[in-house]
Amino acid sequence: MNQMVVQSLLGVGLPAIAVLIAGALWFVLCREHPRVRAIGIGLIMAGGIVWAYQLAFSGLTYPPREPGQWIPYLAIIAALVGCLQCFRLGRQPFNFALSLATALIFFWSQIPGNLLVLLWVLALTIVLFVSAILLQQLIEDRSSGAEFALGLAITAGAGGVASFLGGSAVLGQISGALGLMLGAVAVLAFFFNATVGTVVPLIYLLVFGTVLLSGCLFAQLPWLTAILLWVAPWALIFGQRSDQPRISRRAGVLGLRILGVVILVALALGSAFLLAPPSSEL
Amino acid sequence: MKKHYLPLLFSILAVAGTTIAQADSFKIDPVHSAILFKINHFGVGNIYGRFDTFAGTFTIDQADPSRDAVSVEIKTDSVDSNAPDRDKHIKSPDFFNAAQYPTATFKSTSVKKVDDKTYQVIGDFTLRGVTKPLTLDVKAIGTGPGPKGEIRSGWEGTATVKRSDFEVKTFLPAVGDDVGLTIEVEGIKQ
Repeated sequence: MNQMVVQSLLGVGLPAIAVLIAGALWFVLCREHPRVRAIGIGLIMAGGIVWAYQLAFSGLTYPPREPGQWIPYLAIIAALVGCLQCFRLGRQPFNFALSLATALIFFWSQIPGNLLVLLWVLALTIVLFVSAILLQQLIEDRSSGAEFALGLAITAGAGGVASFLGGSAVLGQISGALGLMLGAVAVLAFFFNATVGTVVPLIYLLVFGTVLLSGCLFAQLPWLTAILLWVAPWALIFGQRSDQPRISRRAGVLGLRILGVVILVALALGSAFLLAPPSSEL
Repeated sequence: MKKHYLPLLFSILAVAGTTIAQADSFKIDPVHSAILFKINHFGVGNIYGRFDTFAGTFTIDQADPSRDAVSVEIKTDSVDSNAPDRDKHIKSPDFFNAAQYPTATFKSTSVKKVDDKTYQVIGDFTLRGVTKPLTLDVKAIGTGPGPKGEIRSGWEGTATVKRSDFEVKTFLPAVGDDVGLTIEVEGIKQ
């Protein structure tokens, strides 16, 4: 097989396998402690993102100079902030600070004397902040761990394909790795019939948000595709939770609830294929 | 008779003095210049590409090569590898991140004369926001009048850069780390 394809597959697969193994051990150890489970799985995910980034970019860049180079650091910061939030330490101020910091990573150098850029910062901060509130609320009130993680996994995985079509194989690889890691978390949440907590959505938001915005601003990911992918997880709002005791019933409800996400993701991928047709030259 | 020769003597001395003191400045003529790169592909072949948009100047001081200077600015989104889809990828954050870093630059810091036709131009090369020292091996091609009588000077510079030094690490080692650069310029005297 093509050396670059093998390299990309390993870059996507190895971190996910690590998350699956470490996550399974953590789920077994913390079966009765949802808060500790959420913290652990968040930190494991952040570690997976750092490894995936190292595999994709052949190492970390310090200090980071581009939004994309912030991805591993954002994952770690999101995990640490998410851990603090698990102890009820001011969730919304933390969410706002993280959203603003992420927006500034993209635009800080262009702000002086540029009102339009300031509006961009404001808009991006609001989008990230509102998304963080909604996703964390969604997982606490409306969603079991499995369907939530699976919804995010499908979205991030599709983000990988869309980023690749948008001209950045590396952003695609990181998004694909994020998707597969979330898939591993979904498998664990399904079989342990457990929630994943509010740390994972924070990591997803910052990492996936950075991938999508980098794709739109610095590569050729269509904005329509990015917007459809961003809103896809909200489809989980509809329907009942799927945390029934029997596995077969749980699987059925999960399948139904995930349908909305699948439809939105399919639309997003369709738009990507239309607006940025596949190419294979390198 | 001596009186007649004196002004002529002074004129010759003045011209000679000017020649020694002044360096000639040239503006790169992009129509008759090229910036090319070469990179290994899977260890089986070399891919060549070029930059279509660039500008620059160089100064030549025949009497004192240490005063020679070169400055080139390359538009990274003008990369042309003879495959538009690949160009799209090269401009992306995987390689140049041309939207965030629209230019690559070379500014000389010193020039060493090797022989009458060969020089080493040492300078700072900036790509993707990272600046590293780079030495160009430069050969003089020729100097003389162009079609409109303007004075032209042609040079060829070559160097090899490690792209990983500039945080461009995507697809290493399948796509080579060493990138061969050839800067072929014709300058018009200003």
